Amino acid sequence: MTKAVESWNRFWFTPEAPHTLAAIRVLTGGLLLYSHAVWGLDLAGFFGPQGRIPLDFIDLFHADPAAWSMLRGWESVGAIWTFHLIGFVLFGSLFVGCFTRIAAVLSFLWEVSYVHRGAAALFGFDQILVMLTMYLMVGDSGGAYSVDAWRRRPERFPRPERSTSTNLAIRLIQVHMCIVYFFAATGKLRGDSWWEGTAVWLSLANYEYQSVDVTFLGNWPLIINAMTHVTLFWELAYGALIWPRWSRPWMLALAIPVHGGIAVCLGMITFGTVMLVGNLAFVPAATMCRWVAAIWPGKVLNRGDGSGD
Amino acid sequence: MPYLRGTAQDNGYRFFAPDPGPSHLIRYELVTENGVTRTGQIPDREVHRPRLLYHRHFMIAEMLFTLSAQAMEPPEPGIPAAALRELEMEKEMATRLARGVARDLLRRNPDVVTVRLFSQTHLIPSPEEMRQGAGLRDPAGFPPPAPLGEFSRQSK
Repeated sequence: MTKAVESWNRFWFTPEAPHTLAAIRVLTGGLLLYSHAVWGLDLAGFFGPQGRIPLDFIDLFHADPAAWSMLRGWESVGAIWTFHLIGFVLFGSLFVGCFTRIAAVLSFLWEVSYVHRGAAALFGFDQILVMLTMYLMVGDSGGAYSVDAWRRRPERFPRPERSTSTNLAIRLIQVHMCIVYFFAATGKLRGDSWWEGTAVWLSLANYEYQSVDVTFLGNWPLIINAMTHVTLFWELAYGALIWPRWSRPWMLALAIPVHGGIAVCLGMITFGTVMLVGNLAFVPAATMCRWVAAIWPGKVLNRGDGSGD
Repeated sequence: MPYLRGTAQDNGYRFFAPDPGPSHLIRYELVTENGVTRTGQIPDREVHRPRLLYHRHFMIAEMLFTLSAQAMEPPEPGIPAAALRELEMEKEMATRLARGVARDLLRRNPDVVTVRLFSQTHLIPSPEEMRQGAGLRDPAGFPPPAPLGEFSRQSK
C-alpha cells in the first residue's frame, strides 16, 4: 500500500521543469490565434444578428445554463468585435508568455465562450484545443520560452524552476490524451468499416475532406486494410503503450503519420497539428530542451537543460 | 455533468466514428426580385478559404443534416413522450439553424428576395467503382437533395 501511495505521489507531484509545458503553451497559443483570426474573417457571418449560427439556435442547442458563453446575449456587431479583439490580446499574451498565469486563465474563459457560442461549426480541433488551454492554467507554462522568463533580469536569469504544478499539468494532459484515444477507438469499434478495414478508404475518398488525392491507394486494398487496422490498434493501445519507456517512442512516432496524414490528405491541418501538440506532453523536458536548442541555438531561449539542476 | 459542460470537456471524441460516412452539403437557390435564380453550395472550397474557414462552413452543413435528418423521419408509433419531445426539439433546432443560414445569405445578397435551402448528401464511391472509371464528383454520387425550407426577406 505504501508503495502504491509513493508511486501515486511520484507520478503526480514530482517537480518538473517547464520546457515541455512551455512548448505546448507556445503551440496552443499559436493555434488559438489562428482559429481566432479565421473566426474574424467572417465574425458577423458566424455570430452577428443575421449570422449563420443564430442565438435562438444556441439557446435551444445549449439549453443547459452550464454551457455558458460571454458571447451569448450579444448581438451588436461592435460589441462582438470588441470581445474578439480582446481575445487576440489574450491569446497573443499566452503565445508569447507575457503575464502567462493571467493570460492562461482568461484565454481559457474566452475559448470556452467561442466553443459554446459557435456550437454548430466545431470539430475535433476545438475539442482538443480547449482541453490544452484548460491545463495550461494549472502549471508554470510561462517558466520557459516566454517574455515572463526573459523579463526576469537576463543577467541574473535563473534556470527555469522545477515545480509540482508543471508536472501536474503535464500529467493531466497525458491522462486526458489517453482518454481521448480510448473513446476515439471504442467509438470506432462500433463501426463496421473499422472492423472490415475499409474506414481509411471512406475517409480518403470523401471529396469534401480531401486535400490531397491519394485514392490511387484503392488499387491496393491490403494497404487500405492495414492503414485502417493499424490506426485502430494504435488508438486502442495508446493508453497502455504510451507509458512504458520501450514503447513510448514507437507510439509517438506513429502519431506523426496518423495525424500528419489527416492534416495533409484530409485537409484538417489544424486538427492534425493540435493532436500532435497534445502528444508532446509525453516528451520529457530535457528532450524538449535539446530539440529547441537544435532549432534555435542561443543562451536566452535555452537557459537550463530541462533537468532542473 | 455541469462541470464537464461548463469547461467544454463534454466531448465524446468520436473522430470518424462509428464509421466515416458520406459528407453533407447545403445547396441553396437565391431568387432575385427579377425572378433570376442563382445557386451555390456550402461549403464551397473556391469561396471559403483558408481551409479552417471552409471546415467551419462544412461543419454547419453537417450539423444541419444531422438535425434535419432525424426530424424528417415520421416518428415511430408508440414512441415515448420524452423521445417525441426530443424529436420536436431537433426539428426546431434544424429550423432555427436553417433560418440562420438563410438570413446570412439574404444579408450577403441584397437583391435576393427568397432563399431555398437543400441538404445534399455526397456518396463515396468504392475502390471497385473508381477502378471502373467512377470519379469522386460523378453525378451518380449526389442523390436528390432534401429540402430544408424556403425563407423570404419579409419573413426572416
